[in-house]
Amino acid sequence: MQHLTDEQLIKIYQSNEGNKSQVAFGHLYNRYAKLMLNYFYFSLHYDHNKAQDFVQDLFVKILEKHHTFNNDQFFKAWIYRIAANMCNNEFRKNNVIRKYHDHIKSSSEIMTLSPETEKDLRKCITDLNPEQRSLIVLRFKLKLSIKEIAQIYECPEGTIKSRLFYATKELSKLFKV
Amino acid sequence: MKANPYLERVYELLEQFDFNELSEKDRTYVLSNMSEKEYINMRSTIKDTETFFSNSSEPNINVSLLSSIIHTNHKPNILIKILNQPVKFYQLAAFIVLILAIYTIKQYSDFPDKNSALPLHDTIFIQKADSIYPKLADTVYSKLIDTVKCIREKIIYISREKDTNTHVKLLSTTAYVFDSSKVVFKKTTDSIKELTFTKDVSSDTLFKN
Repeated sequence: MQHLTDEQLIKIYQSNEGNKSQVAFGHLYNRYAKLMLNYFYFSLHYDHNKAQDFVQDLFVKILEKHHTFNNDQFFKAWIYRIAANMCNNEFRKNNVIRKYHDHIKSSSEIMTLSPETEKDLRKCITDLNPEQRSLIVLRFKLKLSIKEIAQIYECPEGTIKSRLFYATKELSKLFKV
Repeated sequence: MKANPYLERVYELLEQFDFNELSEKDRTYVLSNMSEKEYINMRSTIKDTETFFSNSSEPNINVSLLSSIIHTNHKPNILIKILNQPVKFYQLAAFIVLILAIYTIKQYSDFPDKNSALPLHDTIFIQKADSIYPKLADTVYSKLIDTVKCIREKIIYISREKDTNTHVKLLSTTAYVFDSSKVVFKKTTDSIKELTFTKDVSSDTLFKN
């Protein structure tokens, strides 16, 4: 089943064929769990436990709402869209505690940027608004193409480029101050 | 956000080129709306961000997460869930009172409305008879059947409107075809001579069979 596309796997899962469906879901999980953990981790201020909980919630949502996925969309865009909405809801509830100071101690040994630069940049990314931070994480951490991000946000690629321009400008302003 | 071809193009350049790598044409285009310093700062921010993300440690996924997701999704049967709930005495008492109340209301609601133009009883009779004292030859069953109206040379079907023909079951072997033209409601029956008597369907041989 490993050679199948995401869309084919979710279709198998939707067909509800017992063990086959479970295997298909397992493949989707293996493809996306780590990516989603990274997305949540960097979007939710480096809170590892929260990111892990969010990954769990996300996949439970997928299990429960798999019927809302139509085959004319991309699974990747669909799963990131759900993840982005979860982050937005979390920020709306104002529950995210900024934990970047704790994290910097544990990861300082693998930096290539100077510790000060890395610390500043981490803080600046944290200070971006949720949508800008999400865009930066999707583009530079998860290395999604502009087209893929446009599919997630359901808007033209040009709009994503403009938003990334403003996000970069804002980050640059915060970082170079 | 409105489309802005300038921002889109400059962002593409920012991701790919340092300022000194830009062609003359691109450089002029970039400088039409922003300064060289701004471009350099943004370009350097992008590079630093890329480095930051590629070097930052990644969180590890919990190995038992998948099984916990699947376990979470297997919700227990709702009945088992309810049965597992501890029930307090007052809840049980309230439940019994509620059931009794519903039962009482249901009983009262089964009584026919006395102001209604419809017959008091769920009454059904089918017989074409020549005699003034017709012999009851065919019956249909209704749970409320206790009165039969028999009119000479006329087949009458009387039923409460809400139950019309839904609970009726013909017990004779002859196929019964409901004919709405033969339905007579109380208003109509008042004007024709009728013979009414009570019949206990439990002793009806056809019913028993």
